[in-house]
Amino acid sequence: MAVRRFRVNGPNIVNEIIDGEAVIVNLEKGSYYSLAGAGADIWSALKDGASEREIVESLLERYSGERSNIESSVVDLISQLEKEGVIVQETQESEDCRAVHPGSLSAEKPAFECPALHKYTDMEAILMLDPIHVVDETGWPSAKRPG
Amino acid sequence: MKQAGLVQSARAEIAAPYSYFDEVFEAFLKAAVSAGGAVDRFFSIGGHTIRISFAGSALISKLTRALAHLSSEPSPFPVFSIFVWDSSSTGIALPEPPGDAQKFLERREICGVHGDRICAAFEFAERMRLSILHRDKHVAVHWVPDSTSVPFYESAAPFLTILHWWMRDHGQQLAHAAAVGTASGGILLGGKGGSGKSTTTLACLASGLRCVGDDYVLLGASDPSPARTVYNTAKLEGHHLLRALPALLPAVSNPDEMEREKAILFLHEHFPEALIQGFPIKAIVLPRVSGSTASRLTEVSPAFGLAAIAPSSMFQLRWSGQEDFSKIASVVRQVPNYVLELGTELEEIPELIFGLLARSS
Repeated sequence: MAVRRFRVNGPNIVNEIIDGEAVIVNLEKGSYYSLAGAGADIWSALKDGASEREIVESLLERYSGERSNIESSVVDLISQLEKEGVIVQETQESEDCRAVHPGSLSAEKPAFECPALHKYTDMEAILMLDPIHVVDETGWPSAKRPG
Repeated sequence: MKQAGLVQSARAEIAAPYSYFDEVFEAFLKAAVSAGGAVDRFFSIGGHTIRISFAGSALISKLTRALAHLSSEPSPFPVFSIFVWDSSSTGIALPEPPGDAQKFLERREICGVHGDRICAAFEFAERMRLSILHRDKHVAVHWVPDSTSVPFYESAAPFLTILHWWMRDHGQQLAHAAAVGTASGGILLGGKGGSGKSTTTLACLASGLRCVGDDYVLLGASDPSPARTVYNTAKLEGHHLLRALPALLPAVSNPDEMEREKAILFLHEHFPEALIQGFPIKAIVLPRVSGSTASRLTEVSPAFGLAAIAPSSMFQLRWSGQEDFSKIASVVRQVPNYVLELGTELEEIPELIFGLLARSS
């Protein structure tokens, strides 16, 4: 598995993990996302700079499940987050060296469930009320009109 | 020589935001002279005495009705001053921003001006307007092109961007939310426009529950976090007001415009006893119009509450970022979160909220 690491894609992406769920907002596009369960664990590890391999290992410590299933789930979620512009890959690759804290471990591990990235776009209209401006022929900014 | 040129260029770049602020402030002074003098109004917002100084009187009524419940005695030492002018009534134009300010950052801040110490943003919607804040001097300037065409949403929430910037520096976070309750505690009502915040707030007006705000409130940093009042405005789609709360029609400030803009009620003018300065937040409630007759509350996760309150706040407030998101999250973490499925029997709503507050105390 690749030693790719990622980072949150700039100050326009804000996030919080609250009561085991991650809420992520893209301030530029007006969309926001939620991740629960293992998805929030993956998000937390990505933010901390863990590689895909480190994330898989930490999930195997925390959840019961097939390695192959966990690996493909991690890759899929990372791919979705990249596609949404929420994370970007670090340009410099490095060896695995960061320990990912698996959180509280119980004697009986819960079953791993494929994480689902929930996307919400109902706020995009708010940004459209204050449309991206253009500089008009007078040199001053003006609202870009649709069409 | 080349290095000297670079240093000079870097100095000019650093000085540009301050120079532009000074130019804009000079323009306000000229506008005040042109209008026959500055007219000061004082307000106690979030516990701070703030002076709003207008060049002439053309904008005063349009930009102070929403703050009238916070009107205070003149103070020789306001902690913050906002200077306001328009070009149409004073004849004084807005100075052109520095060269590269013709470009803008993604969220309308003025590139080349907006930075650590100077906050500056053009906002558009129907009309362009400028907000600029000098964070060290605690002075802001607000400019609009035309005093005769101030849009309804600016009258309903004047100086929103400037207050967001300045209050954030002073430990208080503006949030797009309503709040109703009593002096001992109340609820924060969150959600995007049309979710039922205003319906819930207005349905409580005659119930003994009092209103901190309908559209924006200030959140404090303590635990329990207080909600504090900023504007006394309530905004509601006109057709919805006529259908669900027709008794409030005489209080609408823009009855002739309700087909093309939201109905605006300045609660201070009609229901002053229904307003309250603030209270500790006991719960977060997210209204949803259900279509059924009865209303009911269902507890939801804090993440659900955060997703309902924070994005709508942050998309409407300039220069929001991780710090704002974390502040709102810290409030959401403190209290239980509920969805309020809003039924058509609106008189049930205050009872539900009283019951929730009794359980939360």
